[in-house]
Amino acid sequence: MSADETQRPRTVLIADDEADLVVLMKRQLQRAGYNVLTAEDGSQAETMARTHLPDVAVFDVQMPVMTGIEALEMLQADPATASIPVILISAGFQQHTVRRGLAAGADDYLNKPLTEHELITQVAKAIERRSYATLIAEPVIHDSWS
Amino acid sequence: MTANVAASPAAEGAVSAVTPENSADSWPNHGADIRVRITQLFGTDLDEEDRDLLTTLAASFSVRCDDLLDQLDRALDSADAVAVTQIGHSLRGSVANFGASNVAQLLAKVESDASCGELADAPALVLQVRSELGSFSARLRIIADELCR
Repeated sequence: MSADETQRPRTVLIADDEADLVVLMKRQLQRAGYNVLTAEDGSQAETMARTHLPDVAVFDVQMPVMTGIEALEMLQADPATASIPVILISAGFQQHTVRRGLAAGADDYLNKPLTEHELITQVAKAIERRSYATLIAEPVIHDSWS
Repeated sequence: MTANVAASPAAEGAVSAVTPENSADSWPNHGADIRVRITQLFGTDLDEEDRDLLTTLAASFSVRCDDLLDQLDRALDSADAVAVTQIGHSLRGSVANFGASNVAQLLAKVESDASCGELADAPALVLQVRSELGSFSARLRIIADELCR
C-alpha cells in the first residue's frame, strides 16, 4: 500500500431508511474527515457500493426494498466488493439477526442508538482492519529483487 | 459561537417550566435524558451547523413519530402483525435516537409480541406510547429551541 493510499480521504457509505439518522451520521462522519455517500434502501446501497467502492459501509438491517443483510450478502458474493467492510446497525439485538449478519460477513454489529464516538470509532477500526488485511495480502517486493 | 449542552441554566429553567403542564408525566427525567443524548450526538459544544441540524431534527422528530404512530394504528386495525413488527421497530429506532428509552421499551414489547403474532396488548401499549411521546416531543422542542437560540 502506497503512502498516497494511506493518506487519501476515506469514503463511508451509509444506508438507512430513516432520513434524519442518515443526516446525523453524515454530519458526524464528515466532521471526522470522511467523505460520505448515502442511500435510503438496501438496493440503492448495494448499487452505490459497486459503483463507488467505499472504504467502509454502514447498513441499517431493516430497510425497504432490500434489507441491510441482503445487501451485504450480495456484496460478499462478488469478489469486486467482498472486501468492503460492512457494519450493520439495528435497533435492538435479536440473536438470530445478529447471527445471520455476522455469518453473512458483517465486520461489526452495532445497536441503535449510536453515539458519535461509537460510530467514528467503529468506522475507523473497520478501515484499519481492512488496511491491515490488504497489507498482509500484498506481496512484499524489495528493490534489490528487481 | 457555540452552545453548551450540559451546562445551560437557562435551558434547565426551560425544562422545569414545562413540568407543571406535564404533572401526570410518568417520565420526569426525560429532559435530562434528552440532554445526555444530544451530548452523545453532537458533543458538548454545538456550533452553527449543529444547531441548525438539531432544530431540523427536533422538528421532524414529532412529524415522523406521528406518521409512524398513525401507520401503527392502521396496522393494528387490520390485525397485520408483520406490519406492526416492522413499524414498531422503525419507531423504536427513531425514539431511541433521541433518548426516549422508556418509550423504546414499550415499543420493544409491541414489536416482540407482534413478531410472535400476538397483538392483544398492543393497542393499550401504543396508546401509552402516543401519550409519552407527546410530552417527550414537547420537551425535546423546548430544549432544542433553548440550545439553538
